[in-house]
Amino acid sequence: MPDIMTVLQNLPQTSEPADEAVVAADVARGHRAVSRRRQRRIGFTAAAVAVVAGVAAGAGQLGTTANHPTTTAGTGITAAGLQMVAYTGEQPSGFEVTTVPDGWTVISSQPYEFVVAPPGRETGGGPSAGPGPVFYDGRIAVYMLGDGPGPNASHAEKVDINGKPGKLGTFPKTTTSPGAHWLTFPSDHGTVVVQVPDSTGLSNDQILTFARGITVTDAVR
Amino acid sequence: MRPTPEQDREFTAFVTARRAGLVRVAELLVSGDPAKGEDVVQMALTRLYLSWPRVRPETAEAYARRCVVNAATDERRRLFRRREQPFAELPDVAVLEEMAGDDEKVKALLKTLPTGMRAAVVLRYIEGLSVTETAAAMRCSEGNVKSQSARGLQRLREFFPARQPHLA
Repeated sequence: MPDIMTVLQNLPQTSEPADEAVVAADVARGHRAVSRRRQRRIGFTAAAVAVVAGVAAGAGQLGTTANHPTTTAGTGITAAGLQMVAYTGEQPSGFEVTTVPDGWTVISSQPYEFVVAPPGRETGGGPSAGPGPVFYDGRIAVYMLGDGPGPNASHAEKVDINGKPGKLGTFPKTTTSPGAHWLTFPSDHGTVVVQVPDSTGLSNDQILTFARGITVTDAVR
Repeated sequence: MRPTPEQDREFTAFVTARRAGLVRVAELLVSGDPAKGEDVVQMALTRLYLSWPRVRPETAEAYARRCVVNAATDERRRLFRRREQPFAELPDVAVLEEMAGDDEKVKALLKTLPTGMRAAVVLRYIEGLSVTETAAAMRCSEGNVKSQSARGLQRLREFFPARQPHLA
């Protein structure tokens, strides 16, 4: 009677290359998964921003504007009294961040992106760590642009990010989304994108301060 | 981030070379059923594709194995819910004893192991991975791999000789 180890080690091996059509089907499934993921992210962001806009509109109708943040003309961003402070928490992988809005923390870290969330928004609205999509609504997202064309920079403002030429622009407003600000700047490892939904309440200066505190490290992918 | 055409070609080459091996592991992890093994590999490769731009070539195989183990665990949970079927009478003959060949007996015995224990045995003793590699694939500690694989092997040893068919 053979030992169990011998039987386990001698179970038939398979090393034949896979059929071309089967592999093509695997790649096609991957393509569809990428599209679904992209649509999900856009959908979640649009829905969340619409909810925030609805709540803001409702609050305005109640006549309590004196106690609410004021809107900065021209930017569409509310000045919510946020202060930028030194970040002392755990650094994301692939990046270093030195300045964040007071109380905000890095909730998701991948070698290609990280997400910073305000107090009370560290969880909810999607997984905050591990594999899978991380939702950007109400949070600052920083990621590498990759090979895509990036945001439409035709109406973007030129800004300086630590001596490098950056661009600050807005995502187009739609009927369901009041939009968001984006900022891109070059690094030694590619273009960095900072995405800031208007619902975060950050001003343009605060976005610039945040971006100037970002360093892309060699661990980025 | 969508893989570039070049990354698509790399993914295609990787899958062409490794797919059969991944299917084999998946089958062993999900009760030896080829169809379920294929389902698991398709799920795993889809997850792998989503992560492909961030996967380094030297870690691609380990990452793929981890995807397979995760997908097999998910599949196992789904199978567990589907598999419970009441029967009026229990079979009085062990299925194993009617099987011919040690390979089939071992595969059938593997089905009886808990998911983690089975994964540890399959990766350590059938695929020949090191404790470190197995721990990476299972996303657990090396100590856990050692204890799971040892207990799994012990359980297989307990049942394997006892279930040999009696020769006249």
